[in-house]
Amino acid sequence: MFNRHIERSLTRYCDGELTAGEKRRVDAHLASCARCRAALDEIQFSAGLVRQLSTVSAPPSVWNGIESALSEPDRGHRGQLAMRWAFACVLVLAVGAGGYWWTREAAPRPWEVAHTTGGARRMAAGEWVETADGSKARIIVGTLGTVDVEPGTRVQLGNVRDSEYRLALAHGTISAQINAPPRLFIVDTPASAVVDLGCAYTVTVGKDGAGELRMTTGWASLEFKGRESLVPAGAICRTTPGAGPGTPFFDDAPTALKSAVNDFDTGTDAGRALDVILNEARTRDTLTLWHLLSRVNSADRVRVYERIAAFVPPPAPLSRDQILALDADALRKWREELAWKW
Amino acid sequence: MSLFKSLAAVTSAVALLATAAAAGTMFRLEIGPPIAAGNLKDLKKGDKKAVLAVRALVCDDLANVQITGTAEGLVNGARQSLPVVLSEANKAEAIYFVSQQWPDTGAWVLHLKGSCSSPKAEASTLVAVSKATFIREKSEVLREPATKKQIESALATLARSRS
Repeated sequence: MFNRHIERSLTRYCDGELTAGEKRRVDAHLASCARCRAALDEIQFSAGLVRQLSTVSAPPSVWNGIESALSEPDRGHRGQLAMRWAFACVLVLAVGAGGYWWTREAAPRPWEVAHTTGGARRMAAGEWVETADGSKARIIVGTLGTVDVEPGTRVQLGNVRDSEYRLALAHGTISAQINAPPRLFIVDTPASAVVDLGCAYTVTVGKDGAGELRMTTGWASLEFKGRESLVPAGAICRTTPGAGPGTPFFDDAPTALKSAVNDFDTGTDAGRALDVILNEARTRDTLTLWHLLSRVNSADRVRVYERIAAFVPPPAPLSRDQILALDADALRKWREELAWKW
Repeated sequence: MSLFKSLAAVTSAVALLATAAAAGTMFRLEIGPPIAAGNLKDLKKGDKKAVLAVRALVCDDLANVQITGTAEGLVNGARQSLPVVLSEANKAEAIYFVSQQWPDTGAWVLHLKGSCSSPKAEASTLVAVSKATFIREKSEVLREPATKKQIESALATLARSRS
């Protein structure tokens, strides 16, 4: 056993960590082995040098290095967390995008629009239908009818509810053929809202916002801030931004009357224009005269009343005073009587 | 002398009838655009397709006035006659709507006939129509049901004007 060198036990020997029996055997071997005594001398010399070293504080860079080293295991953990977050974000984004596209596809698209240059497609409220100079389009208004969009027109599709279908004509021309209960279909223009009370009409709006309504069949009302013009089949009514609907007149009215109506509406020598209208009016033109009742001053109102009454007097029991006082019910009843001549 | 009296009586009667008719004091039918038929806001969907409205005037019992109609047409030289169904706008005032119940092609005249029970009287009107519009200036108001000859004449006149 002493023939085996004891180099592996020399450090513990120096530190006094061997048992008594191990220490006796090391002492016996060292006594007879020069090689192991030389090894013991080297260990004892090195240990003496270490004991001579003083204790000093470690500089910050050392501690940073230690902290950095200590963080090495966390970096892997944080990487995993980051990966999890990234995955969650991607998942949320995917779900969100999917939801967006799903709801977008599922959103009501009540308008069906067909262009002459292409096929038909369904469109949602808020979308625009625009036609180039050489193209047309047709808007299907649910089961109510159709709206033909003429070349060079811009019209916005509006909201659709049980009680209302709405379009907004920015400029251009549309022709509507609608079969629906009154006031269900409305076309907004810069100068008035065209409220459908009848079947077919054409609306034109210029780049300046001024417009014109031509009724083909049925009738419609133009409305703007409490001002209203009723336009029956065969009649025309112009609209002006800020002023709303003008005075309606029949397309077959005398040219002088039509020109005077335009002058009256634009305020161009309105007094003379009213004289011309009163002089030129036919029985049928009581349409125009009836609308003037509420648009002239009280003195001229008497003249307009007398002219209408000469054609068709107010039916009993309506009185002149009621009409001149612009009693709404009396005006309506007289209009209904006059309309038999329109 | 009796001949003179008879002639005078007949002349007076004719003049009286003509005056009454001219003054609008006899039972008659009047036509107008659908807008004439009353409260616009209470219209039913179908009423909006009306081509015209018709009403009876000068009858003591307007609620029981009977108005019927036919569409008399000439299509590619062939004579056609179609029944026309009227819809009530205001039965108490004998106001009815007439919607298009005839083809777009050809010349068409509506023969609307009304009868009043008190005083007992009949009247009619011949209305020229073009697709879904009526032509007032080519329409006639008659104090009695239109004769076949009057209908054919109105139809021929309309067809000529359109050819």
